[in-house]
Order: sequence, then C-alpha cells, then structure tokens
Amino acid sequence: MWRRIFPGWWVPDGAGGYRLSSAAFDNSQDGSPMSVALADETPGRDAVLAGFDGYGLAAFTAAVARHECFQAVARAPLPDCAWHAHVIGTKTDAVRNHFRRRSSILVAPRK
Amino acid sequence: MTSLAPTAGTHTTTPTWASASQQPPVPRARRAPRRLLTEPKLVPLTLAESALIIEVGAEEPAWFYSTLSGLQHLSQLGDNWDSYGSRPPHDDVIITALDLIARLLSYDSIAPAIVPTSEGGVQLEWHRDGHELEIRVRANGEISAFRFDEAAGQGATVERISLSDLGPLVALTGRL
Repeated sequence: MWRRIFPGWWVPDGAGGYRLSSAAFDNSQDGSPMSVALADETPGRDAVLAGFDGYGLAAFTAAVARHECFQAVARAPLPDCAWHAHVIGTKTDAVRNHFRRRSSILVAPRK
Repeated sequence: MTSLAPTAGTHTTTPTWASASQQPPVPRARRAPRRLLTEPKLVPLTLAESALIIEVGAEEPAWFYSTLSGLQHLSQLGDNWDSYGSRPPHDDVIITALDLIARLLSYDSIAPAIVPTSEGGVQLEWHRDGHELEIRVRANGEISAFRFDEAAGQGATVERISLSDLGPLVALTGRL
C-alpha cells in the first residue's frame, strides 16, 4: 500500500539526512480513516502523485497494517481513484511510529 | 543571534559648554528612551487568527527562532495541505505547543522538528543516536509523548499530559 507524503513529514534524522515522520500515519481530520492507495491497482506512482508536486510516496504492506498495527484494511473506491482504500483503526503514538519504522520511501519528498 | 543593546550611548565627559562659556545651554532634542540590557526582548509571532508578542528575558536560546519559524509555517499551511483534506492546525494548538516547548526546553536544548498532523495537531520530534522522541499536541489540546529506543526495540508512551504537571513527560524525555 502507498501513502502520499507531505514534504513537512520528511524531517532531519540527526545525522545529516532525512527520515519519515510518524505524523504521516494518522486518520483524517474529518474522522475518516487513513487513506492509502492499493499499489497493485494503481496506474503507477505518477498517477498517485499527480497534482501534488514535491510530495513523496511511502509503502507498507497490508500485513504490517493488519498484524503488527492491528488495523483493518478496506477498499474505499472514489470516482476517480478506484485504487483508494482505508486503513481503519485507532492511530496511537505507538501505532503511528510502528508504521513509520515499517514503511519504505519510494519517492522522497522535495524539501 | 542578536544580543540586546542600548539604543543610545551614555556620556561620561563634561559637556564643553559648561566650562567654555557662560551662555545658557541650547536645549537639545529629547532623546528616545533608552533600552536597558535588562529589558526583555519582544518577538512577534503572527498566526492565522492571532498575533503574539513573546518576551525573551535574556539572550535567546539556540532553538528559539527556528522553533518560532516552524510554528508560524504550520499556521500558514493551506487547506488540503496533506493531500487528504486536512486544514492547518488551529492557533490554540500552536500556542499550546509553544507553551509546552517553553516549559520543557532549556537554553541549550536541541530544536525539535515541528510537523503538522492530519488530525489537526502539532508534533514535536527529536531523533538522535537511535533514540526517538515524539510529543504530540492533538487538535483537542491533549498532549501525549512516545519514546523509542531502536537498539532495544522498545517504546514507552505517556498520555494525557497536563501543562500544569509535566513531571510524567520529563520522566519520559529526560534532558532534551
């Protein structure tokens, strides 16, 4: 699964580089669950990042979400994004940090 | 870093008119009030719906300006900043984060990374030598903290932190 990464979630790692912030993994402000893209069903990275110049892309598996973070994953297709899905569950600080540590960066945001 | 300085000098010599002439002195233009070294420095912080004046009693800590800049930047985020429909953190949340920082950090503390959360909160982060510390101020004002030691693979959480009692937070964070 892929999650778009706001450039402000790409923070100094204390060693001269950058790392992902756990703030990237949270439910939405309106109370809806965390949005992700089902990677295998997207046309590609460019389609997921279209319209969001400078944003990055992080990837994690459904197994991490389900079995390590104790979340549910459900399809939630949108009119123009059939590959949209929700990661459902409470995002405690520990859960968000676990998502961060178990995610990889596919496209680094531009600071 | 700038230091406080008086805006006008002090005179220690006798004015020349006093001994050289019996003519009465010509009144001089009134000086602007002097700033004393002990006066606090006033630093403005402009947020979306409010403006603060922050008093700094002594020389500013190293983290001071980068922290204010980071908080101000959060206030200037636009709608849908995260691409998932979120709005920027409300001023109250940013002010709570600033209050927390001022209480928690000492003069030579390391500046935190300041990041917005999709939920409408502010997160402060420090990462150093395999140790992670994250303090989150939620949109509703609740404060929590998470510390993770990568070498040990262990984390610890403190929730429902009150600004009036930072003891549990300090116990978790140690010296920043």
